[in-house]
Amino acid sequence: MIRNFSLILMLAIVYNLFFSLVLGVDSTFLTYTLSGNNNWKITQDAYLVSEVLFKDFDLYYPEDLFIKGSKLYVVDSGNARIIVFDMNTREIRIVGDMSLWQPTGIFVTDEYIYVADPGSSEVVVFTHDGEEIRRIGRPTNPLFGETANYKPRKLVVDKRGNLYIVSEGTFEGIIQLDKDGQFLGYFGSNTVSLTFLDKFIDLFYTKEQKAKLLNRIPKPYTNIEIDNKGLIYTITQKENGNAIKRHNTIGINVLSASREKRMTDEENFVDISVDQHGRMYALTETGLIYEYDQEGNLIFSFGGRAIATERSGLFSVAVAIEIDDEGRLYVLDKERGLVHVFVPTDYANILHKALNLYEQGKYLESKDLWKTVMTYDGYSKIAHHGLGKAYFQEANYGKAAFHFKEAFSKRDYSDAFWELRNMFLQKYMGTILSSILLIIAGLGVFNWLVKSGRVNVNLRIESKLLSDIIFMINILKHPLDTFYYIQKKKHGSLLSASVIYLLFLLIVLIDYFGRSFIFNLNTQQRSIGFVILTVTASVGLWIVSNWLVSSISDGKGTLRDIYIFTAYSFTPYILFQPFVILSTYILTYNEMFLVDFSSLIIITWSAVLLFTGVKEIHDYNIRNTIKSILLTLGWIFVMILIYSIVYMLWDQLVETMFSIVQEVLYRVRFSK
Amino acid sequence: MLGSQNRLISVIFIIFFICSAFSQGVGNEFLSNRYTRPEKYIHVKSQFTLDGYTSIAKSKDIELWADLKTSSLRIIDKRNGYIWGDVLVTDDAYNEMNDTWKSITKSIVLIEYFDERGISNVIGSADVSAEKSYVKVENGIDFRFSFKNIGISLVVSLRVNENKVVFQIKNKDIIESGKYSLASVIFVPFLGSTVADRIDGYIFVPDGPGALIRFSKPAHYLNWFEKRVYGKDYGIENLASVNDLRSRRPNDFLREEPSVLTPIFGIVHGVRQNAIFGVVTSGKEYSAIIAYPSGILSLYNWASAKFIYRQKYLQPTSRSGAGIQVAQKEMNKFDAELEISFLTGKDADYIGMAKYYRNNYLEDVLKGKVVDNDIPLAILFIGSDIKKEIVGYRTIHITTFKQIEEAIKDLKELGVRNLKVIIHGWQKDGVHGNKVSKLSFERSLGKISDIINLHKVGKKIGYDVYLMDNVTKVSEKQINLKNEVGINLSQSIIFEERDNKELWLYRSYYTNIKLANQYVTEKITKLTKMGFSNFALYDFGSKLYGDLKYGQEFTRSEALRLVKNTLAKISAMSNSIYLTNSNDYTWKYINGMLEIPMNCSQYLFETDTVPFLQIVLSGSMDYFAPFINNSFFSRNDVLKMIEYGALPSFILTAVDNYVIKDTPLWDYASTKFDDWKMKMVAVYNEVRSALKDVRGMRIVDRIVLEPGFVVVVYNNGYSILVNYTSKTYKLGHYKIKPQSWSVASLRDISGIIGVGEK
Repeated sequence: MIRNFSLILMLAIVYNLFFSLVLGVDSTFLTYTLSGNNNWKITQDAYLVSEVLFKDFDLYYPEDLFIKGSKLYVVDSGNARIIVFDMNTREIRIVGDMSLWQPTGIFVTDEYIYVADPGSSEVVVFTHDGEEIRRIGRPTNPLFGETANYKPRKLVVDKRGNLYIVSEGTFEGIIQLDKDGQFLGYFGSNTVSLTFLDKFIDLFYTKEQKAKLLNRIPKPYTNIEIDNKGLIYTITQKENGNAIKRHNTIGINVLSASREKRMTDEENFVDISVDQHGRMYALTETGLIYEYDQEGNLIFSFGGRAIATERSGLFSVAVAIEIDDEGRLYVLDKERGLVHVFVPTDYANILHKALNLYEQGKYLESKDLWKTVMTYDGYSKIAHHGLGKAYFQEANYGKAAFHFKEAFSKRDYSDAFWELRNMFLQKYMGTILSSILLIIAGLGVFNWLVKSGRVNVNLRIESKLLSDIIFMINILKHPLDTFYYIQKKKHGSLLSASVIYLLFLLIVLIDYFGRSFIFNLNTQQRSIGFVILTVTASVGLWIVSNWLVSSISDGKGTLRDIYIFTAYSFTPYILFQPFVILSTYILTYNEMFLVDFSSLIIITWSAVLLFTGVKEIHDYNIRNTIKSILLTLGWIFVMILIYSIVYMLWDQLVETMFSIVQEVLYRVRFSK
Repeated sequence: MLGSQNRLISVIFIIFFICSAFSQGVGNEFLSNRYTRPEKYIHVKSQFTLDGYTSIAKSKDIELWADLKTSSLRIIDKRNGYIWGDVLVTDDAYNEMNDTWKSITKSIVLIEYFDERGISNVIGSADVSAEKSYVKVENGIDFRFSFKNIGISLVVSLRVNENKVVFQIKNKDIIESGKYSLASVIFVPFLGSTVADRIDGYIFVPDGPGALIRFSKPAHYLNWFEKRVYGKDYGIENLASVNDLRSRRPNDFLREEPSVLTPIFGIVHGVRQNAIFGVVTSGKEYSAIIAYPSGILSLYNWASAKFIYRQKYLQPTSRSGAGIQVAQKEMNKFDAELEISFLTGKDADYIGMAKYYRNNYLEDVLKGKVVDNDIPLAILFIGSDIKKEIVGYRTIHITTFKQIEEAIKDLKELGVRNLKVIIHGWQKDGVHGNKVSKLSFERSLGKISDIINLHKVGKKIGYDVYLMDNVTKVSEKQINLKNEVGINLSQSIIFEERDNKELWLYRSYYTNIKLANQYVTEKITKLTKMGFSNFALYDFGSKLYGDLKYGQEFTRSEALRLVKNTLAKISAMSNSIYLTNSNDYTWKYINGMLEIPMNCSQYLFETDTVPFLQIVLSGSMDYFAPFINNSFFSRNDVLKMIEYGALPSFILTAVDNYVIKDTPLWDYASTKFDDWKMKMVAVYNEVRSALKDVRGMRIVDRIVLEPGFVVVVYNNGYSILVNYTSKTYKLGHYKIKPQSWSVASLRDISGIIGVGEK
């Protein structure tokens, strides 16, 4: 029985019940967009499935779609033929059923139908009447190379009749042929991206070893598309942030969001379609459709995967996407041989209209449309951004700043802020200047009064704790003396150090969460607890490890000394970082280096103090200090490692105990 | 019969003549399975004879015949001579099946059983290994089947009564004497089955408002139709599929499918010619509606109701929740009863079924139910909710009582005559923060006297205030996880998770059903004493689950009775009760339904959505469409509301949505009152002018003349013509503009469309 039990146990599934949200009812899937800080956000339905085509027609593992005029072309790969479906009359015609082997890609021009057939390693050209007129085989040009792969999977044809072919197993890029099938060259090859590990290995390997051991080839393209301006779009799988590329005529990626690897994309894109406005629609193999604007900003993400149930808009294996002139999307499910047709809703239509105006630079004209978009979704990043632009053009900088902030467009916000700051300065310049002058004058008078002895400012601090804390100022001028006094227990105590640690923690928190919008550290998702834990754990580990290291390497410092001097080393950060944080409320994006630079100086200063502290407290020479610090860091690493191992073992133990208890309970209850 | 056929055909001809025949281009929304297709009314002839069958019982309308060797049935409808049966052994479709399924097709009962390891298998009563004996009684027959190989025996009784055959298995007649245990039972699975698209007709299933699965060519679907009546039983079923999109986006991508609110199904052979209509009359809470379109399992289209005696559930063996699936030990105790009615002529379609169901099964439930004179607009205001802060969370006010008062004033001034003002989040700490166990008011919204006043004033000037509460599905902030949450058969608490861990409160809990009922009764009792009289409950009428804590099990049946009692009690205390998307056992006690389903699940094999539920409820209660400002805003949606007689509703806040960014209401994209005010009034005015002539009337007929052009007929002689298409239709002297509607008097058009019922 026990054996049976464990046998069934092998079929165990994860116990998780996910429920889905009832919001509206027309679509079977949720539509997402990006809000503010690139958070995924459910939005109103943007597309609805209108129809599922070819339910009564046996497509067998179809691979590609193409739309030309009112005709929908389907590459019925398993049946080795092309289906031409008239979307007005719903008539079906078949092309190439005698001359194709295993077609996977199609492109249709006014004159011809081009079919990529990796089965026969050819591109087969038909007239619209279905007559085969040419087969473009392997280029004979010696430049193409004897060993190069030529298995055309997908293709596009430009206005001059040049072919751009994505070939299976070709890493050099897209094969470009002229209209006679002559090899023109490779187009826009992917670059090899090196990971940190790769670069590390590079340090040690010789050239020969590299050639022998490392197989660094660029990623091949998965799919290709051409827009009405002749720009070529490609899909590369397993890329992050640059899965979609838009190539100019010489093959260079001109989509800046993709070049900077900051697109919100997926590693399993399989196809892309581009509409007449330059908006891109990419499809994942799991049936998700991502719509992007011209600049590569994500507008919508919708659709889904058919796992347990097959419903409209969900796909078993999605392979191809096309868009027609009315903005309807056609998505091909390879496994099921069906095409789902998506139509845009009112919401998507208005957003598209607004985007069209926006992209022509007609910000003001787009304003009301953006406002309408906002009534559909008040979080929409793209709408806030558009509205911000409109207000900016109107010179309504306050509102512009507000919307840019909602859209998390830091640069644009900074521009609006600059204008606001400018306006503020112009308005109050007189007041500001005169108050600065007044303060300077006041200080001068005060100084004179003190010097001349008319005012006595000899404050005496009675409290030992307070004086110990204030003693930290001393470290700025006389670090060596300070550490000496600490070691001699003349100044500094456990209590004062603890207070300093608390101050430090407070400043770190403010630095993390309290900077202005332009300079904040994108810490929306982090919790205060996380920051506190990280800070205390790292400081604590440092103190303990340093103590352990110093006690075996003749360090003079005690645990107490280390605790105190570490605290005092943070002085520059505690004293000066608040000014940096304050300055973020005045500065704009262009002055960012000021913030970064001053932060760097402050942190370096603290680090130098820490170094000096180690040296002085333990009475080391420079060499030993470095050694001690490195060993301390090593110890920290070892401690974390040990903790993880113990934690994991403990977890396993608890898990095992739990399972036993569960099984016993089950037996007791049901084995009557 | 033939006369009306001819007339229909000529009608279709006329319509085509009027609007110059054209075929529908691809991409129109009304061609999806969220709408209904026109009927072809092709004449259907029965393929069966009575050869080899013996007469068992008869009534005025039907005669039951059986093959006593196999238990295969034939039923002849004496009104038109149509013979209903299961399969023909000469069919290729039959001969393609394996022996087990061959025998199942001729069985009056299909049983599913578990072996000792919990692996399930099926067997039919026609199987050679099943010992059969029978006793003929006056109007029927009792079969006893002993499945010797698995040690299960049971008695199936059949009774003929007017136009129906009643199938029953009494719980006491089920005997298990071996290591096999009974999982489920299906009566006459293949009665009314058809092969692929051989004849014109469809299966009707109560999926959402109602859905049709038209007989079509076989296809290899991944799943068939199987839905638990009254939704999932969370006490047992907490298994869900893994939804891996393999993407960086949240996996949470599916909308919840509509559930089955009432236990019925139907099969139509030839529209308006022959139909069978099944109603589960006992064991509803343990039944499921199933339908297999051609291509799954076999080439046959078949449908029936399934009675579930045991289910598999997950017995967790690890803390992470992984575990093994085991079968329930204890059998669910109930008598299974299915009534199959035979409908002919005009009644033989989903409209006829709806009317038949209403007249014969819901008379008591809907008796005396009336609606107000004027069309209402429902507006749901969110009072307050909890908001996540850097440390902990706090309660924020979203719409104060004052703001609600002003909004009402605005709408009144704009001419909204009948308003149903539903307020949620009036409780202390709002929608997701209020403690469900006690009555409390969120003070930041205003004084309690303000809201009482709001309620009182409403009675005078024509709006009703409803206090909404949700004691069923709650967040962890609302409940004590130790002792207030329901326990499932695995002895863990019942919860659901959204597949997006970045969400705050992504996990929801189901309150112990006994406590939920207790809380509802207590709170409403107190509120009525304070002067409130209208209440709305979220999820209370749509989620049915037991509490299966070991040793003190409270079954789904008991839960059903408890919920009915509670509703009886609170409806007696109050003036009006609204529930959301609620199951049929609640209908007797409620005055309105919010979020009535308007679409089926849109499975690929489902070909149409039909307003079965709306036809049944029309004239008896107000049913409101889903919140328009949540993805139900398009022109087609408004037209569909008019077509289905559904009323508009909105979910609203006084504040902008970015204010509630960090609350669990984040999913609502757009709820600001000011943004939607004018749209609300426009939709209200449109729906009102369309439906005012048929207010309180029942839908008696519905004809889809062309894709996207529908006529809905009411019992007072008015009909609503709805045009979803982008071209103008002419019908008699009525002209219906694109994406528009028109109200017609039936007198003027009945000659053309060939319908009418006085």
